[in-house]
Amino acid sequence: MVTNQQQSDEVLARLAATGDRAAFNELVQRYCRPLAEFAAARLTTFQDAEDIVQETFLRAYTAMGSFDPSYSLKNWLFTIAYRLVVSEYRKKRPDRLSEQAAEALTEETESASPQSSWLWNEVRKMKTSDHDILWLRYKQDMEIEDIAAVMGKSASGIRVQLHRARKRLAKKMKGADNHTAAFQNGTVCLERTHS
Amino acid sequence: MICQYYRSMIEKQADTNHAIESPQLTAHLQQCSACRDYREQLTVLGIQLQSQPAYEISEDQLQHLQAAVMEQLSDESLGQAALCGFTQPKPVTRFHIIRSIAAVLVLAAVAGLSFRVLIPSTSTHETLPTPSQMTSQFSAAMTFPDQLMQSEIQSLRNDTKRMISFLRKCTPSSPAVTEVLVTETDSEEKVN
Repeated sequence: MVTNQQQSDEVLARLAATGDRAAFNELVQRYCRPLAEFAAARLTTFQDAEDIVQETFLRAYTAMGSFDPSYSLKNWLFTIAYRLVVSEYRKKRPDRLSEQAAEALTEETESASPQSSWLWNEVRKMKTSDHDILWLRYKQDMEIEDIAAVMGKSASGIRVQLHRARKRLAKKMKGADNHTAAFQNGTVCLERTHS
Repeated sequence: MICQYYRSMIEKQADTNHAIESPQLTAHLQQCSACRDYREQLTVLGIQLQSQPAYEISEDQLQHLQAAVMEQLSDESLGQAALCGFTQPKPVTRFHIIRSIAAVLVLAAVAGLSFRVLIPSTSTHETLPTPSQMTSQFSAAMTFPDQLMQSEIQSLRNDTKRMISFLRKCTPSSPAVTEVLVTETDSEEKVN
């Protein structure tokens, strides 16, 4: 007999749509961590990330009946989470807060990712969309088309932005020689040289 | 220029999870060390981004979160909503009833106003003077040289013009309107 752990996402989604709570629980087990890490890396507190993940699964659960199994469930969940994260980020943008609150938020943000590597901390300092693209590409192994679907942008736009983000990251790494000790070659240079 | 083309190809390879084999690229990489370095650097950056921790939540946090997610779905009626693809309807409160009544009143007022503006009532037509009456009024007014009477005449003429323009809008091809227009023109000539 095939257990829930062995089932594909799409089969579990179909089962969950018929009210199978065990199937939905299996989906929660699979995607809770990536969604929580994505939201936590993007937002300021883990509490915010928890809210996002709970809301994502709640929305997915209530709309599971309308989910088309021909699409990727992972992309669908990340699309919901991404939209919620963007909405949450807009609400708590530092420029909309008072000076004191913004200062507290900045301190919180800087200490929010103690386990992050220097490289990912640098990514966090980049534009939020650059961060999201790099995260989805390298932490979730998503293809360009999938990232475009999640973020609601064109694939060509995502491709260009990913290239630029990598270039900016390489520049930062080049400029910070002290930190590049952890980096394998220490001479990353993604600048195009014409020959 | 050639390198630029091949570097675009290298980036495409880096952007996909499937291996893209290209004999041309392989041949170019064998002879171009700059592009070889470029590919290596891109690969290293990718590996670093994949392997280095970005934000990792602890096992305790994860279990707490999973429990919280499943707990919020524990309501049976919510589970039934998932079957149909819609959320549970909210209970109707007194506020909802008052809001609905207010909305109906506003809609009725707007509809009534629109009806009044767009379709004039029959009583308006009844009070309008006929073209011959208007002509006689004009003729009578012309016989009084008094200043006050002149302003009255002017006012009457303005009213008539407004009425004509209104009639033009309502029934542009009506013979009655044509008659009024002719009479009005004649009156103007007389005044001049």
